[in-house]
Amino acid sequence: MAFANISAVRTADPTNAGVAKDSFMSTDPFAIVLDVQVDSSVVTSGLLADVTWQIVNPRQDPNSHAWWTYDGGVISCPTVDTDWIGMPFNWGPVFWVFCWWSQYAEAVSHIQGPDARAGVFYVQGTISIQGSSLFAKSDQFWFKVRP
Amino acid sequence: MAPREGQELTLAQALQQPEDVERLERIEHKLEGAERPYERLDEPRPNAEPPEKDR
Repeated sequence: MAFANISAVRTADPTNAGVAKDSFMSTDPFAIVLDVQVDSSVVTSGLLADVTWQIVNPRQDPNSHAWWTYDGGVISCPTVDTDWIGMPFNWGPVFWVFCWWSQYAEAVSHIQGPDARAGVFYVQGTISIQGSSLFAKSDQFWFKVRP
Repeated sequence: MAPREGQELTLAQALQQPEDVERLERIEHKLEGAERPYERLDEPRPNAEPPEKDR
């Protein structure tokens, strides 16, 4: 039976994606890495996948830590989501897939609030294989950012 | 990145004074070359590769 699995998730320096890093300055390069395993039949079938990475602020109190943004009005924005739609399986059945920014602050440039550039947050991700019932989700990986 | 005016507002404060937030948005968008709040600065860069042990 075909499968898809995210065996690990981590934040990292983009130049060293295989090594977890859980503390950043807001000016540090920043990557979210998913370790992915899929059945070899998925690779040979030519299917594509949609990958989503999320930075999550679990603190939702509007009087203190909540993230918000402006989009024609003030709106709550507890996650920053990044997508790769239609990722091919060019790297075999075992690979990692990551998104990265030259600075953490760029990842949250649209976020406002007292904790916009500093705090303790987590990342997580999903992979959904197009045209099939296969998907996988990661655990959570916590990290800290200082201004 | 230095905190900007408006970034220190809590969500509750921003909801109570949306006209101030909107005014800041308009002002910032008129500043040519300035960083604009409420806008993603940089497209994220996706990438994938085999683990180091498999290269």
